[in-house]
Amino acid sequence: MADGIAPALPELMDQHGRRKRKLRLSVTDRCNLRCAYCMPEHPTWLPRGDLLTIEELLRLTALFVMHLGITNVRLTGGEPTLRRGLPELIEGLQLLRPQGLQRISMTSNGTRLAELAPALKAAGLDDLNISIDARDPALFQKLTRGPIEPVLEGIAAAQTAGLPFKLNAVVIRDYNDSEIEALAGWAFEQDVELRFIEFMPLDNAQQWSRERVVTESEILQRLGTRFGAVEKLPRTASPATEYILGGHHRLGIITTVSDPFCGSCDRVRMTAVGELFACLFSAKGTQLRDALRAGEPDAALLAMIRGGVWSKEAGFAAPRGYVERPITMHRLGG
Amino acid sequence: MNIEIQFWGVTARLAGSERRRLSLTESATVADAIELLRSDAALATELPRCAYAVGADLVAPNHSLSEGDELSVLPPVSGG
Repeated sequence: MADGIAPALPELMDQHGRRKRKLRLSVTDRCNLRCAYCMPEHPTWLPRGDLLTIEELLRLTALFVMHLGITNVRLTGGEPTLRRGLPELIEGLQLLRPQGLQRISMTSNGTRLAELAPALKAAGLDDLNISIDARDPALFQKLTRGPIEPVLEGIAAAQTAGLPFKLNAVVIRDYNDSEIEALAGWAFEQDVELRFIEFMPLDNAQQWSRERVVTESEILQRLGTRFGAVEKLPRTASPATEYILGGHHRLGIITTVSDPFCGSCDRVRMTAVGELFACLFSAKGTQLRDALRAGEPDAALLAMIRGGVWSKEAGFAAPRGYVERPITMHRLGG
Repeated sequence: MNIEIQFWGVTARLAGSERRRLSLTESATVADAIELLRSDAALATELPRCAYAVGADLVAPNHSLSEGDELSVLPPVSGG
């Protein structure tokens, strides 16, 4: 098969044979927090008219599910709960379950869940990841420029609504590593699943800062001292390595978020303006919105999607050394 | 010459430790170090996808190594 010409298969595949099953759908670039590793403190938001409408999001997602074998959709942002019509979007996605959609997930900062959790549950959201990088209110405020109370209320609301969720904490030295024990202790008390994410500051093309990495072994050593024996559970399909601490506390650690195994990467990402990114490090996305708005038929859109994914490069840093990411995390949704 | 490899993220798990000493010929490059590390089957498939750094600088495979360098093996993007 020549480069750049994607075969019209009933699944989404790149030229390295990687089959795509997961779609990360950014529904807005807006966020009400300002975490330093994700977003500039004074971001400029995209004009609302540039964002895909709920109907457009549903039409494109339907193509991915019905014709391209996508089985999992994760709603991201920005902060997805800031998107108007989010419950309606999730309701619309339910219609795709008979067509092969198996799981509808969301990654959220939790700030609006107190208000939205019941509606999201009723709309058919399957599960949530909630980010919480500190438990100490003053530090949380410092890191995110927002108060922690709405997040704690949101977590409680998710529990009450019966929405399954996991808490995610990115760990960075001299940023929030002082919170490792407090976050774990609190999560154990609440009996909620917490995962620490080992951060590697690789966003910058020239440098990386080893001093800021808190490794999995350091996290475990510290938690072992506080909570007792660390027992490693067998690996599962989850990106986290799971541990049991002190006999009964469950904890996960994610050492590499974007799937350490690029060779088996099964994700594609679409921004809120309808750009398809086959890889976090893709130099540019495939713009689907304009074709959609120009009235292109499904067949033409499918050809664009297949072409964009097919030409995905082989993996991180391949083939020409480090690739600077052209788009910031808050637009791409992680 | 001798250099020190530092494995980060998932590569530390695959390597079975966070550090490893490597003996290379004089004038060896990062690519030579990678080639030697690839004889470790657990790491072989992961290494081509990693980025490499000496000190705080990301380096290309043709970067020349010096005695005592610390070469960091960085798996695909983490965090966020």
